[in-house]
Amino acid sequence: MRYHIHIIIVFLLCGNVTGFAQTISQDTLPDKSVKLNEVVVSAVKRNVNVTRPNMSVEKLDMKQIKLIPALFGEIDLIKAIQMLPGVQATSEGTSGFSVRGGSYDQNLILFDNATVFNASHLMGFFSTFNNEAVDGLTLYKGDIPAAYGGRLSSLLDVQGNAGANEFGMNAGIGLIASRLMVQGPLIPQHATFLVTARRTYADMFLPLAADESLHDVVLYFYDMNVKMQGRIDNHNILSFTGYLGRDQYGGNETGMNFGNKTGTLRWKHFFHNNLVLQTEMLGSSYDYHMSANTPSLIADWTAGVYSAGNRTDLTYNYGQNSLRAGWNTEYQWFSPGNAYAMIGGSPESYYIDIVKKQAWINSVYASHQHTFFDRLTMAYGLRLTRFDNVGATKEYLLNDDYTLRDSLDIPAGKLYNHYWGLEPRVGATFLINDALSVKASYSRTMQFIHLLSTSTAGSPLEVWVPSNMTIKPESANQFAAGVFTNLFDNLLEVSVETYYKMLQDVMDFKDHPKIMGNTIVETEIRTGTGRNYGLEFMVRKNSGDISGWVSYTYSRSFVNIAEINRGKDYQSPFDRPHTLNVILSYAFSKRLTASVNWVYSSGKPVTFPEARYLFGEDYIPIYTDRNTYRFPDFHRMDASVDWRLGKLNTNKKWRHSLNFSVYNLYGRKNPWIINFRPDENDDQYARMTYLFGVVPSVTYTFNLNTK
Amino acid sequence: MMKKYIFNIGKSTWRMLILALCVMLTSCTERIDLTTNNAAPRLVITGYITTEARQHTVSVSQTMPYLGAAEHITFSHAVVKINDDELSAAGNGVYVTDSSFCGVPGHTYKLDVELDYNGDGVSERYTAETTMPPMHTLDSITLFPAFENMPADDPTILVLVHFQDLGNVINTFGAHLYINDTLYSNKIQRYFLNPFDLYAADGMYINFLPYALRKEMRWDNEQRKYIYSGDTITVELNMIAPDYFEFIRTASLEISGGNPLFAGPPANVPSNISGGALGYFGSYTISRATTVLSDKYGFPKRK
Repeated sequence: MRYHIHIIIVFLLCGNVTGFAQTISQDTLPDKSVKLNEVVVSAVKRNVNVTRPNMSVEKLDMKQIKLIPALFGEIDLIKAIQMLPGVQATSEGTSGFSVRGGSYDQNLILFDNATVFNASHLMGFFSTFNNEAVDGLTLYKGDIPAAYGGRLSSLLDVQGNAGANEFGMNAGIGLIASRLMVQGPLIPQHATFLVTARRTYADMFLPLAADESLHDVVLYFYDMNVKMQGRIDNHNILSFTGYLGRDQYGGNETGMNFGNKTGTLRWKHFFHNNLVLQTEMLGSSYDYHMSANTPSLIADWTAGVYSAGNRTDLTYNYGQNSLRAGWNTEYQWFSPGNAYAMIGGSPESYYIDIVKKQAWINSVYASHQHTFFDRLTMAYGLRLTRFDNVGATKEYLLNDDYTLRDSLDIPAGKLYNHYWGLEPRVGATFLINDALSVKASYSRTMQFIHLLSTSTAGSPLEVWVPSNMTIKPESANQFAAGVFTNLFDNLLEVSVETYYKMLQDVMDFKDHPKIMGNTIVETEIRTGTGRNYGLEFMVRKNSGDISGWVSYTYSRSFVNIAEINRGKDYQSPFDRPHTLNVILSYAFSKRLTASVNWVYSSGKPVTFPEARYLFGEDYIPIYTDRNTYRFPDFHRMDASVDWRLGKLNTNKKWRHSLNFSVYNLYGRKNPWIINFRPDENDDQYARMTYLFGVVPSVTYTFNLNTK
Repeated sequence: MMKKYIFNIGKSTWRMLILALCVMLTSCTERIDLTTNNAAPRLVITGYITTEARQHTVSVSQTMPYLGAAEHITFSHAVVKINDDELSAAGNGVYVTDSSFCGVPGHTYKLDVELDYNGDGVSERYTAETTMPPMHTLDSITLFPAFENMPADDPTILVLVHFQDLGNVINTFGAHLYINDTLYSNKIQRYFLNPFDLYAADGMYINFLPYALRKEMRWDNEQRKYIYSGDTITVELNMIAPDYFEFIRTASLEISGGNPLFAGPPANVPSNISGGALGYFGSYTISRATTVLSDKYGFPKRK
């Protein structure tokens, strides 16, 4: 057995850092009465998981995330949430995730409330979220607040870091990536800023590759974040968040690039201590581009999705209770693809312009949370959405057999088709005592835009399309119940949750669909019902020398579509019955902390051929039912040791430490792709491709603090 | 037309990316033991007719396990007819027409196979139909260099074909490549199948690029096929019956195994044979044009 060793050393060099460690949220800056109001949110009680009036919620702070051993030593938020109960990576190493058996396009990912349409960099090995630009995250696996909607399965709410009131800088130069973070006062005591940028150059070793065709390959990404936040007076806070990222892959003559942009302009107004208005202008986009430029062929292909809108939210707190209402308007543009090509030697050039689509989505919502007799908290809300298709576009009408019947040309600006969506959300928490509660919830969610994807892991070349006259909105009804308890004086948090989710109008594709570049993609889509159910068990220890969690998830996910699998139920690609995550961290001393994690899950469902026949000189495979086989079980152990160097005196101006980590400690070869081919005797055999051997890495970090 | 090229950009960039990632991540492939259920054997009938006068064949065989060695079981005692003309058994489950048999555009052909496959002592009937599409005549083929400054030791020459599309006909065409009378596209993965919008370019004069020639061409089982100056290059344009085109397209997808970035879940290819048998009976037109690979393109000389 041969292990390839990767040593990745990331040097984080900090210079001129002042007060870097003392990050103060600007939300706390207005006058004292307002500050108190904000503090309620952040003052975490030790039994919060028992008393919190909602369920199916996971919060992670950066401290917890940093304890998890990471691939290449690169800590990543999305990789961290994939370790939580009810959450699965769609494939090893990717940023795609499935929540409670849902597909990865059923997750609403928001960065300061702006939609992130594709959260992956570099085939998903990195997510779009740069740690230093993030303050914290919350994942709602169900019981999504009425203020949010638009996806069936989950809401991942990522909050941007607004910077500190003192100037600070953090720079990193590494073998695969460099990064820079600058933060400080924009207007002293009134406004702060934070700017981050990072760029990978993972391709710099490719000129050394044995395969000459790789010598000119370009493979990198960059991204930038900016957030500025300022206090206008004691009642008004203004902030701006911006994100820009781009991946670039290619060789001499062909290439592709893709990326997201998001922007949030937020005004928060405190009428008085308990009444807060927040209004935001939001914009985001995702697009990809492919091109070829050779003397024989010049070609170009672009596709994307763009959105702009406003979200306005009014919150009134009284005692432990709150009332919240607001509205949300979003206009979306979809460009599934347009292309141009000129072929050398041929006088013609060719154009494809797949019909562009527009949608206008308006929602209003209201929710109320009230505690009765100190024990029972009811949280309920209602969200009403109106979805409109807008011209100019072309609508294709289909016959019952999905062939084209007619097409309609819709003039610009015309609202020509609409759907209503009513989404009630109800939750109850009954506190039996300070250490034990039972919770139950029901929520209905609707999804009006859909990702055209035949991949089960996610790819950059996927486009979003809106519902229209043919494609109905998808909807889900989820029932959940759970018991939450804290043991040994809040030392251990224990929870058990169970859920049952019914899905309507879920999409899949007919056999052998043509998606990319198809002008009438509606003919390829089939819809049906789904049901997901499961059980999640979690034990977590947050304090003491030993911390970490153990979670077990039982999760099933089935789809029924009349035209697929002869109308029989089949396991969705996200059906993973058993998942076990163990994350343990032990502080041997103030200098030395070791962490280890182990991940186990059932293999993903797959369709394998069961017979073949000879046609000409080729063998044609024959399948029986869809997704009846599974990949081999997935399991992997990672470990890391964090070793603090130098003196331990915390008043020192600078600190440095070394982190050693090993991804896939025992070298498990987890199949990434399984395909079939003939051997030298022409016997057909199965061959797997795995991505990772044992991947060790070393990270050196250095912080300077002049305060 | 362009969709193919755009698609190929995606595919080639993806291939490059996977290769690059594999180098960086040191990913590897290895043989694994996998057991799948062996589906009960089923009868398979395959055959096609063309517009060229020659012995056309129909094969009668059965399915075999997917993994392991091929167990080719054939049936040579069937009664096989096309439009009531009985074919003669040529052994190994192959049945042939007269050498004068040729399909006529617009005509429908009915295949009729009688065989006691289930062993109950009574022959079952298996039938299928195909209609020969209209003939599209290939005017000419031309060759031109792929790059202006090609490496002298590794030229790439593109083959461009020219023909008039008849209009009001779905563009289900494909093309075979012959090098000195040897069929290069003997396997589906090397056969060119129109990947564009089948409704586009209707009635237009069509120029397309089915093949690129290099001195070393990929061939069966990781072998290479070599091309030399002075070789005869022949392209055969096929206008394929639309349903048969769909059979070949889906078969091609299933045989190539599927690229994780583009492929959907695996699914069975269609069959038009009645009576529960697998396979296909199809038809296509044939029109050929030939040119000679001249010395100016820099291919090596045949020794």
